[in-house]
Amino acid sequence: MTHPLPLPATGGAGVSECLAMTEAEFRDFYTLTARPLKSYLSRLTGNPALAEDLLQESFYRLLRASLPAMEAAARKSYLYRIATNLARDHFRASKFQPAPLEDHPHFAGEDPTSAAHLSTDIQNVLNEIKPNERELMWLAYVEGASHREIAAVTGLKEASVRPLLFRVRQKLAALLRERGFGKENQQ
Amino acid sequence: MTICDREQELLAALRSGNWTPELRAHLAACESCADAAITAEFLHQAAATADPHVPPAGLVWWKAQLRARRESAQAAARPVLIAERAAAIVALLGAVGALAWLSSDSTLAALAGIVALVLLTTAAAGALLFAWSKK
Ligand SMILES: [Zn+2]
Repeated sequence: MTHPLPLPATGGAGVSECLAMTEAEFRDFYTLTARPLKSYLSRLTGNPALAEDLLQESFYRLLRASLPAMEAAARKSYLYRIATNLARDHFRASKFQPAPLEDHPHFAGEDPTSAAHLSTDIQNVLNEIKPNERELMWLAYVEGASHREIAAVTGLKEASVRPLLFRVRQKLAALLRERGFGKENQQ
Repeated sequence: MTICDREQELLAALRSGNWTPELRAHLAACESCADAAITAEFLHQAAATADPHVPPAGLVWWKAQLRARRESAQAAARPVLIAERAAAIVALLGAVGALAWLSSDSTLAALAGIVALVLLTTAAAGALLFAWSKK
């Protein structure tokens, strides 16, 4: 992930037939980025099927964008920016707020081997924070992105990232303690 | 409370599992690091349990190529479509002009009708020639 870049045109008008990468370049880049991006979009939207659509649309727009030559990290940052904007468009268009998938208010006491339960519980907690807060937390703690990189993906000012991250983290941590998450790991 | 200076050290320990007793003691006493730890662990679990399925790279590439070709063809066809529609409108106007000419006794109206008919027929023919040349 790296510097802010211009957003690609979203329409098809005037597009050239050629794609911005060779097939080999695309395959390498896709192998590197598709799974993490799918996880990001799945957890951001709470909907794996929608996440797959957004994933394919993100790669397509990246392929059609007129970009200068760039390293994989910069390209990844750009891809995440496209994906984040597509998810935001979806939220705006549908006034979408992911509903709780199932009623599992607590982690404590559940069968720890149930991956599906755990995944659902995790999503239910994530759904309690706003989509833009999910973006921030994910980029910082899963992707390990710097404040500068987060600013490039989310469109925030770099100076705003630190205080925002701090505030959202406090909120999420309080929520997790309330849900009994991580009790077994606490010192 | 502010973000602790040792947060990066803490996150690295969470990732690697390499804890010093001193860092463990710090975590127990530092509210900011405790928030960072619980949040990071939760989000790593969220990533580990997210749906891992992605379509094969070859399929995504193939679909992108098809779509790019289709969009390019549509973009190329757009001026032709506009020219064809313009030709249809111009021909219609020409017909109206001709009717005005045929149904009027006034010399001025007849003259205007002839001029309109000639101009509009020429424009329609031009637009159609352009559309065919682009096909
Ligand atoms: Zn600390």
